[in-house]
Formats: sequence, C-alpha cells, structure tokens
Amino acid sequence: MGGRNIWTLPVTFPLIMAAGGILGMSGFALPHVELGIALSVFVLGLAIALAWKAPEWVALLLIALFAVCHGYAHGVELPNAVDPASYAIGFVVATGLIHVAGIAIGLLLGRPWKGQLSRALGAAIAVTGLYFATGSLLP
Amino acid sequence: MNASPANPSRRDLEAVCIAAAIIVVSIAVGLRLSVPEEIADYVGNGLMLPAFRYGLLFPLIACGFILSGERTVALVANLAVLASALWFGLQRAEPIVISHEQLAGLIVRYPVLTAAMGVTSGGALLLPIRARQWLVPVVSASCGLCLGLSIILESPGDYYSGWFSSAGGLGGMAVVIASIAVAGSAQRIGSGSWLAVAGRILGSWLIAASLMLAALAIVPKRPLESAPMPTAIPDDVDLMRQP
Repeated sequence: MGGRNIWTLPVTFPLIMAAGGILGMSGFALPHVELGIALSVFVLGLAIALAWKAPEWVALLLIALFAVCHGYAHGVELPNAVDPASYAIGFVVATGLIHVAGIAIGLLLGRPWKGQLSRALGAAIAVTGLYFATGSLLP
Repeated sequence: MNASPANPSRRDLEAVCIAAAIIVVSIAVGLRLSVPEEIADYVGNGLMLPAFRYGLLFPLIACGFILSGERTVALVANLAVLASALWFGLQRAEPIVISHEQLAGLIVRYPVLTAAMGVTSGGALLLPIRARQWLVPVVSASCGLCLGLSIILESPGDYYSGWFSSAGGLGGMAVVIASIAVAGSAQRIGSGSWLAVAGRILGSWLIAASLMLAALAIVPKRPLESAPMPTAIPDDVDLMRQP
C-alpha cells in the first residue's frame, strides 16, 4: 500500500489486538473468533491478489476488526500462562515481526514480473484462508 | 533525530558507548571466571537477568533507542538519571516497598513494573520527536527504577545477593548503552526516516504488551478447562503384572 500506511497499519494492529486480548482475558464471550481469524487470512490475501489499494480508513477498519479476533484468542490463554509477562511480550513481538517480514517480502517481491509474483502469493494466502474458514464452519 | 549523524564527536561517543558495553560484559565474564564458583553463579545469573526477562529487555532497548536521538549533553544527563534511578531502586526502594504491603503484593503478584516500563518507553517512541523531549527523563528514571526493583525482587536474598544485584544493574546498563550505540550507528544508513518508523512500530508493540500486562492486575484469573478424569480401573486388572 505504501505511504503512511507502511507504519499506521503495523502500529494500529497490535494496539487494537491488545484491546481484543483484554476482552479475552476478562472472559467476555466473543462469538466466531476462529471464523474471524480465518476471514482475516482470506480477505487480506484477496487484497494482495487483487492489488487492492484500500482507502486508509477502510484499511484501518478492516485491520482493527481482525486484530480484535487475533488478540482475543491470545488473551484467553494469557492469564494462565506460566510467565504472563514473557507470554504477552512474546506474542506481540512475534506478531510484529511477522508484519515486518510481510513488509520486507512486499518490498522485495512487489516489483519483479510487474508484481505478479506477490499477487500469486496473495491468492495462495486467500485460498488458505478459505480452507480455514470452511473448516471452522463445518462441524 | 536531533543529533547530526555526521558529527564526528557524536560518532566518537557512539564508539565509546560500544566500547563501554563491551567492557561491562568483559568485566562480568572475567568476574564470572575468576571469582569462586558460588559467587560466579550469582554474577552470571544477575548479568543475564535483563536479557532473559523480555518484559525488561524490550523497554530497555526502547529506552536506548529514545536516548540515541538526544543531543550529546542530554544523552549523558539522561544516562546519569537512569543510573541514579537504578541505584535508588537497588539500594533504597526495597524498604519503602516492603513497608507498604499492598504495593509489595501488587509488584510481586503482577508484572506492574514491566508494564510501567513498557508504557512510558513505548509511549515516548510513538510520540513525534519534538513532543517526546520532556518525556525522555521520565523514561530514563522509570526504566532505571523499575529495573532496580525487578532485580531486587528477583534477588535470592542471601549472603551473595549483593553480587547478583550489582551484576543485574550492570547487565541492564549494558543493554541500554548497546542500544544507544546500535540505534545511533543505524541513523547513518539511508535517510534515517525508516528508523523513526521502526521506533513507532516498536513503541506500539510495547504499549500493546504493557496494556495486557496491566490488565492482568485487574482481570481475575480463571481456571483452565481441565481434561476429564480417567475412569476407575476395574478391580480385576493387575497393574503389577509383567507383559
């Protein structure tokens, strides 16, 4: 997406994810979390495949929705971790490093073959997301 | 960043920072090898404490990152604030914490210290550089004090705990100094604007993790869903029989 989004999205995601994590820790029942996580893989993969440059507010809204689902799943487990401090720091940093890796891959593969390679990878991610979503819907 | 990357005296200072971090680690390794075994264990464990506690390590790296953007005089002054707060935490704060039972209970049971370190250092990284100026001494003092208290609380509390505390303080200072040197040197690569982006991303990680840690003190711990108990073994099964 480039521009300001290079840092606004990776900064927004962990902050909203923390809010989702606190929801999970508090015992709040959030339905269809796994479906939300699977849909995040599908939608974001599709966005790469279609080279969709969403307006900033749309991108932030989507990221925030998905971040709540991801944070909730971690937050449910956090209070009972052996070392909650290391757990919290570890999963946030791991999530952030995945973002950094994604930015690096996007910058490296965005140019070759007019971006076809990165779009193909996006399509593969979307298919994986669809598989996860189907799995969470089927009994 | 305020300091000019091309400033030779600043480059010298960063070289001194790298040398200082290496010297601290060398002294600690030398002590580890030369002093009696029982003391050496305390030195080694104390030195590595800030490196193995991610809740301490990342705020200390962020603190070094923030300090690297300061002018030389402010950098040295803030390092002095950090060292003073660390010394206070190691030497003077323990009796105060122990005399206030509720405060001691909160610190021992919940990672409020690491959350406080993360919120101040992460918040400062998220702010624009001009707006963060007044917050830098607060970050230095907060990181130093929380590090000192964390080391004291992890200290074995026996005859050799002085070695453990001193080594822990040295290890923490080495992490900050090394981060200053690395972030300062990294400013010379490219325009340096990507370093501000990296700083904001690191800041958001710290804030997110710290908010969750702070929430631990409020949210009650829920029991895990345990697996069903095994059914009773029938009376006619001989457990001692060899196959």
